[in-house]
Amino acid sequence: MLVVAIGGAMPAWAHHSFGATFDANTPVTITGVLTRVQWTNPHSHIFLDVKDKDGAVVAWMFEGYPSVVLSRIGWTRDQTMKIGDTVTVFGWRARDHSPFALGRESLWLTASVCTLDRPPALVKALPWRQATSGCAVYRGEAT
Amino acid sequence: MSGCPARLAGFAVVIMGSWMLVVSASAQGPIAPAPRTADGKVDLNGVYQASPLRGAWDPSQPGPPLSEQPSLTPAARQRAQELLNRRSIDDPAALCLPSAGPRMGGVILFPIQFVQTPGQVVIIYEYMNAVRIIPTDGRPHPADVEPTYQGDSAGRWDGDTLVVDVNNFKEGNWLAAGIVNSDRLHITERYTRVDRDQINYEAVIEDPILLAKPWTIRRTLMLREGVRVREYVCAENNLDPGRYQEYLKNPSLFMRSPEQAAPPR
Repeated sequence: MLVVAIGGAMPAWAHHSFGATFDANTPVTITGVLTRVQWTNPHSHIFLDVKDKDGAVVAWMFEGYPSVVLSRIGWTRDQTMKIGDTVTVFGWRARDHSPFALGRESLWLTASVCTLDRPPALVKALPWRQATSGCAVYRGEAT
Repeated sequence: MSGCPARLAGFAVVIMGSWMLVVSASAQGPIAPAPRTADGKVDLNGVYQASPLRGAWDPSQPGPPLSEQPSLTPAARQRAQELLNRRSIDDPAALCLPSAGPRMGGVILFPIQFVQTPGQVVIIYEYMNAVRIIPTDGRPHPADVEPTYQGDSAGRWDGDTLVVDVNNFKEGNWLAAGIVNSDRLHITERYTRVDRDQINYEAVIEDPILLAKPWTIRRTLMLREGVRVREYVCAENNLDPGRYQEYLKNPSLFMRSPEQAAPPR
């Protein structure tokens, strides 16, 4: 399974407020099939078809870095993520509980942290550490 | 997952990343002096990022060091608290509007480029695709200028430091979360390229309606060789206005409760 996500550290002064839309107390880890990518500014979006517990398919949207930043940190349009990939994303859900969340992990950072080794506390904090062999990092300062 | 351990974990990574970059920079030899132009001025030309760290672009690195906090007037403090209780849903940036230099240059995800020619410095911000044209030939602010989001910039050289006087701002824009300027906002920026890799940035912000005393912001802008400013059209796919319109129909969705509200600054 490809494990990848979009998003990353939200600077203190970013395009928009994290807290107006997303709830830091509602982290979600969602696995689904990639159906669409919006490679756009001010944010990218990925869309996943996710089966709920009854087998019904729910279309989820995750918001992430703008495309200029994804490009700069090594993402390649139509290559890093391909339609039909099974993707797991960790993020925070929208306050209205719609199937929408901010993705806050990045594949790039995952590789970086592997290079630096990883503090145990970090791995402990990861909801998906088993899937990534510990090579990922929760980051972000929810406001 | 509780928030506190996660935040600590993120901090640990930041520290490790800083250390690695410092080591790699020092291994590259002595720091080169700031270049100069043919007319003898310090040459600001280059692409930079607000950051304390030399070396390559690295999204995992820490942002600019914290600045002095603003001392707000009582009315501005109350307004800031109200806006923060609304979780900054009213921030004009969510409408893709640019703002004053201290904010524009501090959004660490986006590089800024200096284009310096005799008599003029142009700052290009990838964030919001914004441009500031700063005359440095001694001309004063124009008499017929209208208030703008980024204000009117008049520059001069003070030795090796570019000093920019900025006024004529639109009122109601945000300098930071909940920090809303009046039309009396006046900013004095100082850009000093202290060596090849680093510009020291200082902004003294004055606004008698907003601030009880001048607010000084300091950060470093670090050279990012190999990084280019790209097109960032914020209006391309900005979902915030539509989303906020729906959220505002039910403010209890996002408003801080009295227990959650941060103490006024």
